Amino acid sequence: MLNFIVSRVLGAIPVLLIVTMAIFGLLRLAPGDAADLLLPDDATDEQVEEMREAWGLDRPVWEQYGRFLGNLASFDLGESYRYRAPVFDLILDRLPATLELSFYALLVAILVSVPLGMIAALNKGKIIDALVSVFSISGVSAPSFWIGILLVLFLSGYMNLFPSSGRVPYGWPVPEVTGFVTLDALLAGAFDKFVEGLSYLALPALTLAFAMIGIISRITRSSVIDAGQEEHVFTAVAKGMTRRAIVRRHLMPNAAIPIITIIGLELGALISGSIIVEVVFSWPGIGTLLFQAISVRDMPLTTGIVASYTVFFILLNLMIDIVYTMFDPRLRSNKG
Amino acid sequence: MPGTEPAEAEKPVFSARNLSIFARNGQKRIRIVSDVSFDIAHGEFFALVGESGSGKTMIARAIMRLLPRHMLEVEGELSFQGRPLADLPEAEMRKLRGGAISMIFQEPMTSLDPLMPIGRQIEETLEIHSDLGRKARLDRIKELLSEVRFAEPAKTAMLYPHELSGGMRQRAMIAMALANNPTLLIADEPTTALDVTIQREVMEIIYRLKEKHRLSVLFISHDLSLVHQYAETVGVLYGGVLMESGPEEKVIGRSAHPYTAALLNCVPRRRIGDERRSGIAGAVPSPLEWPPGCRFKDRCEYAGTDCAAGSIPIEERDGDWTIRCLRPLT
Amino acid sequence: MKFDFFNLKFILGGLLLGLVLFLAIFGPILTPHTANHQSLMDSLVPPLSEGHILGTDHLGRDILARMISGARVSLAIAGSVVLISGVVGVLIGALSGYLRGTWDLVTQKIVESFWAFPPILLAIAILAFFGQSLTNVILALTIQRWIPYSRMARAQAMVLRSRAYVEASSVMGGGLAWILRRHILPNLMASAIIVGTFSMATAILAEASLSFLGLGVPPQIATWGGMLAEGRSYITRAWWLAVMPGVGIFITVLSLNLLGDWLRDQYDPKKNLNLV
Repeated sequence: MLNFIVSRVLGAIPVLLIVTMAIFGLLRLAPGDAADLLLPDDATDEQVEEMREAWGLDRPVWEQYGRFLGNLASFDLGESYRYRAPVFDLILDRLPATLELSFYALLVAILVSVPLGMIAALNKGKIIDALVSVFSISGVSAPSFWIGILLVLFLSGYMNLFPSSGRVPYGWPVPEVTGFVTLDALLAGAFDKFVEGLSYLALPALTLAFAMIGIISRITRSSVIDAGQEEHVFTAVAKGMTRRAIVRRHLMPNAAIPIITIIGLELGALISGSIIVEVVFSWPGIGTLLFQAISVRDMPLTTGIVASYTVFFILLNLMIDIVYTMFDPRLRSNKG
Repeated sequence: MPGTEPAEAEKPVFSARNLSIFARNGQKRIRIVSDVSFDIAHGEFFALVGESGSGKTMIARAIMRLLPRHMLEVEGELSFQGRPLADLPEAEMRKLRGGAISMIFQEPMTSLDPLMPIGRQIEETLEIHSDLGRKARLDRIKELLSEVRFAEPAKTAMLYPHELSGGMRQRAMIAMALANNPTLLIADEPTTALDVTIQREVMEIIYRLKEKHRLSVLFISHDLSLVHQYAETVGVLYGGVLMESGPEEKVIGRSAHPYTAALLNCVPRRRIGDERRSGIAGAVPSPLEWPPGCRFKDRCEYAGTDCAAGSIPIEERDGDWTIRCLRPLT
Repeated sequence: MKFDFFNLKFILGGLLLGLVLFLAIFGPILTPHTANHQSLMDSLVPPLSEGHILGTDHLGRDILARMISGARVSLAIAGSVVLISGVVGVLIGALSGYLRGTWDLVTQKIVESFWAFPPILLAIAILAFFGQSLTNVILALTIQRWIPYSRMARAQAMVLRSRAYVEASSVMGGGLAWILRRHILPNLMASAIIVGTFSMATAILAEASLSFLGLGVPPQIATWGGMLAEGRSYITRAWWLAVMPGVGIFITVLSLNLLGDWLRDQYDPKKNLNLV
């Protein structure tokens, strides 16, 4: 097991190198000098010189890359000229908002799609199965920002059920401890504020969950059906087990493996989706930060966000991989 | 119960009377198994022999009532220890499955849950059918595993199926099947997926346990050499019809039905000069197009026009040997 | 192979895609308006009005004309992306699967690295650094999209290379190009078309997302994503501005997903090709 973890971690290193190289390459290949790119248009000559020195632009490319890598490793992502603050601090500041949104979106997606897929599979060929199929193919076909806009139109505009943008109302009284609004409200013992925080989360989380629901419910359906056709399920029937016990003890654990895999794969969609959903709902997370950085051509901030998102994504996948392996005894001992 | 049994002293453990199985496809009703009758006595090793598609696995599953009801219909009577199985409520049937009637399957690779240790899977059967406490269950698991010749039963119980070889898995399946001291063991081609040497080992274990516990065994196979070696009574199935049945020494030794003879002719033999074929010419007809009369007639070298004329009567000999043929060989 | 054409997925998917293609090709003949013609007198005209069947936007531009422009941009970009990534991906994958060895190891690592970027993020980064243009959008969308093809082609080429007839022609001195063209590539076509259909669907979604963020083709070209982004501010006053382009994206992507599903069922109902 430990061997497996070590080999996975080692395997991720070349990927990290190639990925950072690609991001560095983007900076280098982009039209214009990196110093021009990384500085606002009205920068003075001294600033340009300073930048050249800081980035070692007069040095060979490999040395520049090494420096870039060193900066990344020490969490020095440069300074945003828009916010006049270190990029790393800006990202850290916005991180809780994005994580909180992603967490609730994933929670909603799993809570809706796994039961939906199970119901469809256990009623295969019946009307309810067809309905779930229609729902899930629509889910993967509809762009999330459009769903978001429609939700705003109906649930916020016409029915006035939820706020249509932002994370907290002006003058939010709950003291910040963790940076997670709902968690802070609970810590402060303010249940009404917890509910209010959730009401702000409702539409963006639902929107972000929507696209995942289609795929996860589909995979759940097919893996439950596949698991049900396996012969050991038949053995369980021949043992005299009840249908319910079989579903719980043999069918679900076996179906869970592909479901966990697809949820892991969907984390990528979650990250990309959150960028767009944050923009739609003016959610103050990393996605909107990236959007703002790009629109004012704040390159240090853009580079920093792209690099940290990607590294985060790689590490997340690594974790999923390891968790998934622990779940399956066949992989556990083969690779362990 | 109709018919007179050979051994009046003891009622058969299991009996099938005029069993027919139909597959339903929309409005169509296709007969897969027709009018099959046989008995299995206490402690008897009964082998049901046939090529693939003969309906032998269907019969095994019908006994356990494991056939999906919306797709398959069963007619005729199946009774276990004198009780008709069709009338049992589902809850009663569940008590029999894995209890008094247990089953082992063809594919030891896929018949065990890959995510659960062997011991735990055996324990599940004990949980359902016995009121043993946790400690007693663990002791029983060890006892069962050593009965199927695992040297270190405590260690084996902790292993996952993928950590065992095919033969070991099949032995674990047998241990599971024996957990609640069944009366009838249904073994559906238990050795087909295994190497020849391991086949012998598994067969020896089944036979030894049968002797030791006076177990009735319904052994389903297409392997006549295994049948010859272990079975006491044999039923030969072709196209869902029982062609010949009776004591092993009669059916295999003096086969009267041309189909049994043809099957035996396919088994490699060492006698010099013996004409041998690798198979019977032609294929088993599909249930969609059963020919009228004898279903084997198109592949039978002795068939005449009368063989197509209608249903073939059963000929009874010595009270224990039945042959469904107009032109028996002996 | 026998195709089952009396299938709901095929009929519905085919009809919807046919409709979108028809509008994209013949659209400009159908409406007297052009996508960018402004007329402030006619701003925010609701759908089903005289002269503007789908209404107008805040600048009085005809929604139908803009929808047609959006369809053309979407299909042209997604089509080129799918074609380029298909050719590149299948070739790289087929070579990896057939040659194996070092070439395979290197490409596998590259594939893994490209795949390590969260989808869309790499596209966003490319457009942010290189600026917006049609070619850059196509490049940004292609850069990850060849990977599913290469994975499929690699897996199948590995199976094919051990087939007797491929080995035979290699022993008899068939060159690499000849074997690829003659034996490997034709066998990959069916799977490539299935992957391509799903990939086209995600490419249209991705193009729309980029346009929505203002990172797609230059803003003077009307796109579905761009229309949605602009229409968002008028949502309570003029719902059609945000609803119509979304419907366009939705039915196009839905039709492709339906056809992809149908094709996959025809090809092999048991096999689950990767959805991404």
